[in-house]
This record gives sequence, structure tokens and C-alpha cells, in this order.
Amino acid sequence: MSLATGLQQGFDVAFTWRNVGASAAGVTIGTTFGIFPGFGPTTLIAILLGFTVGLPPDTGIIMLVGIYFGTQYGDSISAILMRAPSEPNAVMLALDGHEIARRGRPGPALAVAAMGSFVGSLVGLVGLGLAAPSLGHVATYLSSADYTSIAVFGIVALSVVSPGARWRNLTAMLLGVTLSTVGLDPVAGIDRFTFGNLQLAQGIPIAPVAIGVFGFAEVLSIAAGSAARERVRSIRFRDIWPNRAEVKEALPASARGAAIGFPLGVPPGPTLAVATYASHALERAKSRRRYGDDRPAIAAVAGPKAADEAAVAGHLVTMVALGLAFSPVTAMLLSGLELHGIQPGPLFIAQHASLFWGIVISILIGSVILLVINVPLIGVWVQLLRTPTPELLAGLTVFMLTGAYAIRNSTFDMWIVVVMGAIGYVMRRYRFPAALLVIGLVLGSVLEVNLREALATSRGDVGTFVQHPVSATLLALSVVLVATAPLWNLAGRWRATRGSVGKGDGA
Amino acid sequence: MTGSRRSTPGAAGNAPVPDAPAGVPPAERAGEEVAAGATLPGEHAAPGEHGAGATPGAVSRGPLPGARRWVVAHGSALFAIAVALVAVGYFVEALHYQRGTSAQPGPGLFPQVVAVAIFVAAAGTAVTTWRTPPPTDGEAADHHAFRPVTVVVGAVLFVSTIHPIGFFFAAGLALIVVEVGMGVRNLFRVALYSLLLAFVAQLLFVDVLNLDFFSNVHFLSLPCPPAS
Repeated sequence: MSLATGLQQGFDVAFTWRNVGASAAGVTIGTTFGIFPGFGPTTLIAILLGFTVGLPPDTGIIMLVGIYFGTQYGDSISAILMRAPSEPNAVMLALDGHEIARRGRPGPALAVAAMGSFVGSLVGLVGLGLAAPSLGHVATYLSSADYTSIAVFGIVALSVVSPGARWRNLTAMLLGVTLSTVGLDPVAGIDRFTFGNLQLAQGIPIAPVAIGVFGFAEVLSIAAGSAARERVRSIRFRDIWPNRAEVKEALPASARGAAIGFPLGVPPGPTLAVATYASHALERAKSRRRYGDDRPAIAAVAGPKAADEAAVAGHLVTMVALGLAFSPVTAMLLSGLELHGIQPGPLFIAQHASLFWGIVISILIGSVILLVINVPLIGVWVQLLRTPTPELLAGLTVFMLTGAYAIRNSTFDMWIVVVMGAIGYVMRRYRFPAALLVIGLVLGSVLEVNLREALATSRGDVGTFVQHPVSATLLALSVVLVATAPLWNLAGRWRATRGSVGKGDGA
Repeated sequence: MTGSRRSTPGAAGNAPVPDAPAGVPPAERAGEEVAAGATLPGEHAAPGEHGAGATPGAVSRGPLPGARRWVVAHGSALFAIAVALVAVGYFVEALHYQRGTSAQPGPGLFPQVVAVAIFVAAAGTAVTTWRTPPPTDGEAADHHAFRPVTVVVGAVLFVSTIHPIGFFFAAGLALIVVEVGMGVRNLFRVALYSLLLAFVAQLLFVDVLNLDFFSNVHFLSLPCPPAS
């Protein structure tokens, strides 16, 4: 299927009243909640996942994509106005963006962020449309040994490259893998680690775990901090628009950011943050050469934002084509697809072509709605920041437990949320990356099933993992990553230094 | 309890202004050290790791008592030791399942391998963090340690009472517990918000979305399927 035919099919699916309405609702809900510090895209999608279950698959997924875009923009608002980003990839916006806001131009900073988001989405959707079918085609030739090595590489890469101590990253990831073994054995069909509990026999579902680890743990973290937020003054409609010079600076920066972001987003790892760091570094360097150090650069807002959106599309390529999630957001979207009975993987595009292209077009719809509706309403979103924290947290507690219940009409899932939320909170408190637990849960079952299948088909010959070229390459890369781990530590320190340098630049 | 009271020199128009939430007792505001300067999650923690410690507006309440400070300083190591103990239990349980052969792996093989791996990872974490506790672990003084507990209590109350007393009353109860736990002392405000939020939640989830919830109150006369 050509790109044009696919896009046509996508328009047919996405451009129905129901789906455009779902996208608009998702964007609006996402912005409404995403504006509160602490509630980034991953958390919000986790909380709202359950409420899309009753919708048709295409509508539900399009709504989740809309929620994602809305939350991303809401996160930009809190990053730029309050210097309080919820996700690491929004940190770069809080540097120059907040400084521009402090100097009296918050409206243009927010509008330029939306512009960057739009350009990044456009580049991302073209990249997704081109790359995912090709990778999906290649993936049909992958063996179970290859999938085993992909999962191993994902676990090693995320443990080594993710910020923080490698031992803690690996512990968090393996905790998730451990949870994936609870329930019915995927091959032999016997109960494991259920202790006679019938609910556990069905396994530990991803969605309630994610709601707990991302959503409920976030509520607990905000409760533990003093949780007070800065109040921001309202923004008038006429103060939103950037001037011509700002647009002229922001548009090329957005294109550069998107060009950096998409390829960086495809491989496993915390590449969203890397893409935004890289784009910010580039734009700051260009701005420094032209204007010196003192002036915050509007390009350093647009570029990272575009890089962020394009990198997410890159992540989606891997998720759609291989059925694997290497980032919290894609883990959530994967969970959303599974809730609707759809399993992404090599055959996903062939079997669900209209849904795939519908998702691609929904990215476009979401970013257009964001640009057309949400940007002019910045003043309204800012008013939401005046919601008192205790009531917000109390409401969200009830809301997310209800959402968890809605997934399978099961109070057991609500208990999972409470328990995993408490565990997630303790993990955050002591700097264990709780997000890796969820990714470990996703990768664990893939790893076990393919490992056992590969061993069975090769009659126990472990050499099968080095006989397949893809598998051998990925295992070699895993070894290289482990061997070069100290260099990644240095890179992490450099990024941290860059963050503080940027802060110095900005503030 | 206060916001990050950073100064905003030169800010014009829409610059952030400091604020403290209403309903917080004056005693709680008194004696707080105002966090100096702007805070950014990346400044407290590596990207992706920010949590409570990174919450803007965190306040310092002075040093912790010795025993608690020791627990907090070695929290990472203690958590890792707990995970290692879980790994041991998990391994013992995994021994009950057949390991099979390399040509025909049984249900016990993968869990046993994972158990060993997680034990090694947790032990590695415990050793490294015990010897050099992360410096940020000492920031526990910035936290309201009791508040997350009240949120968990509210959530547990909601889940455990939803069957006997129904969605509306369970939600109301949970909202009251969480709000009071979060430090709101104005009982009228607690009652008003709880009633309002429970009413909206009931209307939305039970009456409009028709979720199969345990409900004995209906504000709209829409049919509700029996609870599972």
C-alpha cells in the first residue's frame, strides 16, 4: 500500500464526526489535566485508559492520541509558566520558555511551543507512515530468537542508558519482569505465583499497574511534597500571538528539531529526553552566536518541542511494527490497543491497516485541534491552575480508582492500583525509576514466550541466538552497552551540567 | 506549605506570582523556610526520576530525628534489600515449578533465572547505595510524610466500602479523608467539596456512563446493571 493510499484510508477512518469529536475531547481533557504539574502524558493516559474501553477501537485509540497531545501541551504550559514540567522531555521548555515568560511574553512562548508541536507532529506522522510499514514488513521475517534478543537489548539499553544508577534501573526493570510471570504459564498453562487466587490466575494486567505506578504514585508524591503551586496571572487573547521575527526564528528551529527527533525516537531508550536535549543544545548554540548568552531563544522553545513530538512518532514506529514498548507513553498506548483486543506487531498494519492509518491521521487532527482551539484558549487553561491542591488530589484519587474499575469491572484492579501506587511512590522516593517497572512488565512476557520458543525450536541449542544476524547484532550491542556503561555515566553528568548551564542561561 | 516564592524581578504582565493554597492552618505556614530560587525537577533529580523531592514548592522543616534520618538516608539500600528478600521468596516458589530441559523449558526455568538476576541487581543496588547514599536522599525533611498515608487510607476506604455502602457514599468518605489528610481544616469546605465531587462522580460514572458499579443511589433514573 502506498503512502497516499494509506493516508486516504486514514482520512476515511479519522474524519468522522465521532472520531474528530473523540480527538477534540481527548485534546481538551488532556490539556485540562495536563496543565497541573505532575500530570504528564503517561500519567494522564494511564488514568484515563479505562474510560475509553467502552468506545469502538478506532475512537478509543484516537481519543488516547488526543489525550496525549493535549497533555503534552498542558505540560508545556506548566513548564513555561511555572517552570514545573511533569516529564523529563519538557524540562528543556522550562529553560528558555520560562525566561521568555518571566520577561513578559508568556503568550508567544506558549504559541511557539504549539507551533513546534505541530511541525514535529507533521514530520513524525510522515515518518511513521513511511517507516512503520517497512519495519513491519521486515519484522515478519524475525524469529523468536530475534525477539528474545530485542527484549534483552531493550532491558539492557534502558538499564544502562536511562538516567540514574544502573543497578537501580535494572532492579526496577526486573521487578516488572517478575510481575509478568504471575498468572497462567503462557506455554504449559499452569498457575504460577497465584497462591490460589483466581484473579491472579489471569495475570497482572498492565493498565492498573500503570495507573498505580504513574497516576496514584504521582498523587502520593504531590501529597508528600508541600504541593503548593505558583499562581499565574491570566493571559489575554491579544497577548498570545508571536511577532513575525519570532515566527521566522521558530519555524526553521521546529524543522531542525523534528529532523533530529524522529530518527532519535526509533531506537529503544530514553530517547525523548535525548532528542529534546540535542535540539535545545543546537538552538542555544545558534542563538548564542547571534545574540550572546543573555537573551533567551524562542527557537530553543520551538525546536525541543518539535523534537519531542517527532521522537514520540519514532517510538510509535517500534511499537506498531514490533509490538514492543520501550517508553512509558508507548507502553500506555500499547496497553490501550490491547484493551481494545488489538495486538500490535509485524502483522498489525496488514491486519488493521485502516486503524493504523487512522492513528496516523489522528496525530494530524490532534495537532490541528490543539493549534486551532487550545492555543487561543490559553487564558482559560491558566485559570485551572487555581484549583486548590487538596480537592484536586482527592478528586483524582477517586477518579483513577474508578477508571481502573472501568477496565474490567473488577475491584481487584482497584486494589492493584493502590498497592502498585504505594510501591511506585516508595520507588520514586528512593530514586528507583518506576516507569521501568511498567516497561519490564511489558517486555517480560515477550521475553519469556520467545525465549522458550527459540530454545524449543532449536532443540536446546543456545547458539541459535548468535546464528541469526539480527539477534547476534543486538546481543553484541547489548554487550557493548554494558562494556561502555561508564561512558554513559559521563554522558548523564554532561546532560545534568547542560541542564544547569541552560538554567544559568535562562535564569 | 507554600509555593516556590521566587522573586521575579523584571517580570511583567503575566509573571508568576506566589500563592499558598487556602484552607491551610496558619500554624502549618509558620516557621517554614521558603525555598530559595526557582526549582526544576532536573535540578533535584535526574530526568525521569523526579518525584516528590522535585515538587516545586517543597519546604524545608529542618533536620530529621536521628533514627528516621538514618532510615531515609539508607532508604534506597533498604528498599533494595527488601527486593532481594522478595527475590529469594520468588526463587523458592519458582522451585515448585518444573524447570524442564533446555530443549523443552518448563514453567519454572524463566522465573528462576529472573529470580537470580533480580537478586543480583538488588544486591548490587544495596551495596552501592549503602556505601555511598545518594545525597538527595537526605532531603526527606522537605516532605509531609503523613499525607501520602492518608491518601492511601482514603483509597483503601473507597475500595473496601464501595460494595457495602455504594459508590456515592464511598466516594464521599474517601474525599473527606483525603482532604482532611491534606491539611484542610475548614470542615464546611471539606463537606462542600466532598459532596460536590461525589455528586459529580456519581452522576458521571454511574448515571451517565452507566458503569457497572455498586450503587444504591441514583440521581438520574437511568437503569444500572447488577454489580458483578
